[in-house]
Amino acid sequence: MSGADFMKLTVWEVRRSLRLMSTRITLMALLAAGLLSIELGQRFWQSQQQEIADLTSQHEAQMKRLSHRYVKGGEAGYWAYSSALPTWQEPHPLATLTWGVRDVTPMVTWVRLLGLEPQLYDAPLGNPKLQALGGFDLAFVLALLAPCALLLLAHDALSRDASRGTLPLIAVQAGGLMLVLAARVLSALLLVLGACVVLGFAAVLWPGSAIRLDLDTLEWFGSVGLHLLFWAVVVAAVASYCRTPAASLAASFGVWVWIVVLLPALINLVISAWFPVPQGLELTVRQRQAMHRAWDEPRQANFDRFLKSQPDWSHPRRVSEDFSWTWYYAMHDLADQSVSDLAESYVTRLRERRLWTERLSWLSPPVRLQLRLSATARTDLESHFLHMTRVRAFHEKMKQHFFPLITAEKTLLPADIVTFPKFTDTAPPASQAPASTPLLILPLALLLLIRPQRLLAS
Amino acid sequence: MVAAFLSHQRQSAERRQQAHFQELVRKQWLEQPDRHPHRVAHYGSFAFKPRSLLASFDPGVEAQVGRIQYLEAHRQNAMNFAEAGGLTAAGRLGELSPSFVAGSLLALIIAVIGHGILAEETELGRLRVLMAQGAGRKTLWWGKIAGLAVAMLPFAILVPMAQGAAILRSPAEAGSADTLFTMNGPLFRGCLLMLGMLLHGLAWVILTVLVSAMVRTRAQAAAIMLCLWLGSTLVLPRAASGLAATMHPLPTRSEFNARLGAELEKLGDSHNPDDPNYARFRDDTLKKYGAASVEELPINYKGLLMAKGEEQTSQVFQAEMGKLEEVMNRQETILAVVAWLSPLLSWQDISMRLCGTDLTSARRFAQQAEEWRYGFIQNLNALQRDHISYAQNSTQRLDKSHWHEFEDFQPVAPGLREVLSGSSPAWLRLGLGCIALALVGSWVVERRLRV
Repeated sequence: MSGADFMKLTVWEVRRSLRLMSTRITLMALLAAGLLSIELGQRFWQSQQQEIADLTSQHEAQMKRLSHRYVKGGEAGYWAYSSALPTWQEPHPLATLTWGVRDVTPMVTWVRLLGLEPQLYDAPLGNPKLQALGGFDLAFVLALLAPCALLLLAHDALSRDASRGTLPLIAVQAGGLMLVLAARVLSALLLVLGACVVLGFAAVLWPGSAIRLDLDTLEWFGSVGLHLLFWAVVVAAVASYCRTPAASLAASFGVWVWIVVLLPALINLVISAWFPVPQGLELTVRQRQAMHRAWDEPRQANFDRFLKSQPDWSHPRRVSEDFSWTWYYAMHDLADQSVSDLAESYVTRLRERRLWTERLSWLSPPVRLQLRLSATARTDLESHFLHMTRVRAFHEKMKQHFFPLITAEKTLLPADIVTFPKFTDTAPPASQAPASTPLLILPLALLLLIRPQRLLAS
Repeated sequence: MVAAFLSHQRQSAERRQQAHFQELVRKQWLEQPDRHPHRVAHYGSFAFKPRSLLASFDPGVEAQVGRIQYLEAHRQNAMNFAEAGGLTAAGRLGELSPSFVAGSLLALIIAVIGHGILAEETELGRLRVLMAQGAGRKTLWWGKIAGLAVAMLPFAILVPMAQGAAILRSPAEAGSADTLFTMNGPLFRGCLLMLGMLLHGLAWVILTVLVSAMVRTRAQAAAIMLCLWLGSTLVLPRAASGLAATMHPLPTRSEFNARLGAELEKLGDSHNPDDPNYARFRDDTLKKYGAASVEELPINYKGLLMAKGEEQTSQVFQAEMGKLEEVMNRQETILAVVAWLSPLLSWQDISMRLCGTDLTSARRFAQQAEEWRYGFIQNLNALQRDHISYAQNSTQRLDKSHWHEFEDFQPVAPGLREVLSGSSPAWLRLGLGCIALALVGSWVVERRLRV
């Protein structure tokens, strides 16, 4: 059979499949779920954009209140104490389709000059009950439900003829069982990919959508396509072993449940047992202890410890034993230093978790896919870390701005607000996405398992 | 079973860690040197939600909400310090709590073993034989349900049994016999869990037999059952969560904090005895004591003012938190509607509540912690009022012997009666669902079962 004949057979299979009610229902259900997820994602993205857009006016309102309070001027220390300055990370357009960890980690942080650590981890407001159920984004639909649609369409590629006894006939007509299987699975794959393409265009053309047909978007959908290719080979492999449609359905669905539901959950349980992330509790307990100890000891002794950590300090080196803002912020800085190892291990532990999730995702390609998609959409852990890094840098900038004013015991006027540091957001680079090698190698290995010939022997 | 074991391991580790921190915090509290009471109010305290024994069966929303609350002056912190549970990519694909496994896999097992129960008879023509032997359609319907129900029993009991075994294996944590065997104890709750599990399973049994009766081939029955399973366990709960969040959106954290900040600003600063917002309060106080200035008062006015300020900020926080809760309640009504189509949601509701890890018990805990916090801070303000002089307010310290007067916070978890009344809608949904499906099925079988 020539290539052209094979294409003809595939096209014929697509047409035949499309005439079936079950195919139509499956594809429509997939499309409906996809469209719903796009709409929900759109709302999710818009509310985040809105939150960021509102920051300016909220900040101005706050500054207006302060100007009112300090209309005749106020100590620099007071101004710094009452000012919270906004920092943020704008969502990438693809965040619409991949929420990643963006709905549970902060991407907007109001920074005060006080100790930074307790300010870093305020997660977005959300109903915990809804969060526990999980989000419904297009990444979920395409990683879990699209393979399922593929199974429903193609699991009986051979078993429907095997159960009727027409398999030998078909095999002879088409010039080999392998070709029949390939054409039928390919036709199902084309149908599901077609649905994905429709959803892709829907996502781009959706009212208010910021998604463009650029490299990121193509990479996103490319990963989805590769993942479906893996599933096509899985279906073909399973189909070549089952003689009845009921058996092929049960077998392929069983594989699906293992790969999509059970393995990811097991991976998750194992990894969180292996790499416990330091608890926020420990951080708070330690920070609080450091800070309140500072109130109990002589101020100069406390301040000297701070000076030790500041080799470049060019401001006065003495503080009064009465309250002074210089001492106050120095103490906050010391409290931050006392937990810096915990803050560091928070990041390294989560990175380790991610690395091991990546390694173990050889067992479950949907996990690999999720990692890739969220990296492309900048909603992965790295983007969360990036935001924290930028907030730290901004806090540093605030210190550089306010410390000289505070140590010099300057009085600030409302007119000085314009000199306060301002945060600028730059689009984050795509983080290193885990390679899609498993999505290529696993199917190649699975190809060896496809043995339709044994279905002919009875 | 693996899930039950791993989950129990993790929970025990967390429980030990929590106990460790609880002791540490108490020790640190008692070891405080002489301090100004208001300093101590900022030092604050922690509220620990005790982990229920059954939490390893269903961690519920605790992964999201956390179990620990930092209690300090002037503000009501949300429960925080949640374990960063959602922070792995795999995690977003679903926590494998034993409760989820038990619920969703039981449904799948029933669908897999039961889809052919009538379809196969039809497909192979055995139905006619059965009828000829005198089996009525009704008998067939109820008989098949009973048969499948018995077949699913071992699966339904398996996971709770494994969990029970895991709990009983560590007797130190299981507690003494008298707490174990009370009506409110984990064993009785475990029995109720099993009952809920069976009811949930029964709903799937009836559904499976019904689908099996309505189609002609096993393959059709299997395809429909799998789609139903997929829809009601994986798609609907998540879609409902997304819909609820969009239909009744919560304010963003910035929005919430801005509003809260504006409200608090209106109250004025209770650290400042000359704050104009508290001028009226000062005048009233002076009048009450018949004094001309705050310096002449027999008590420390700063402590009194602090107490007044605490009273007002606490009210503002309560009001704002109440608004949030209202939105969340509206979101939950959407979940309750969808739960009619997804038995798993009802099962999860039942199981979370029985395990004491549901949102209601989290809120109850937060409320109690807030009441305790309020009393705790006001006690400290009273100490400031009575033991610290107004003139030496910034330098004077309170003797450390006072720290022993403070007891730790002891939360009271909702009792069984409350748990059951809270989950009664879920029980009702499952029960009514079963009855309705069974009656509809019996009617359909009478008319449609083709021989």
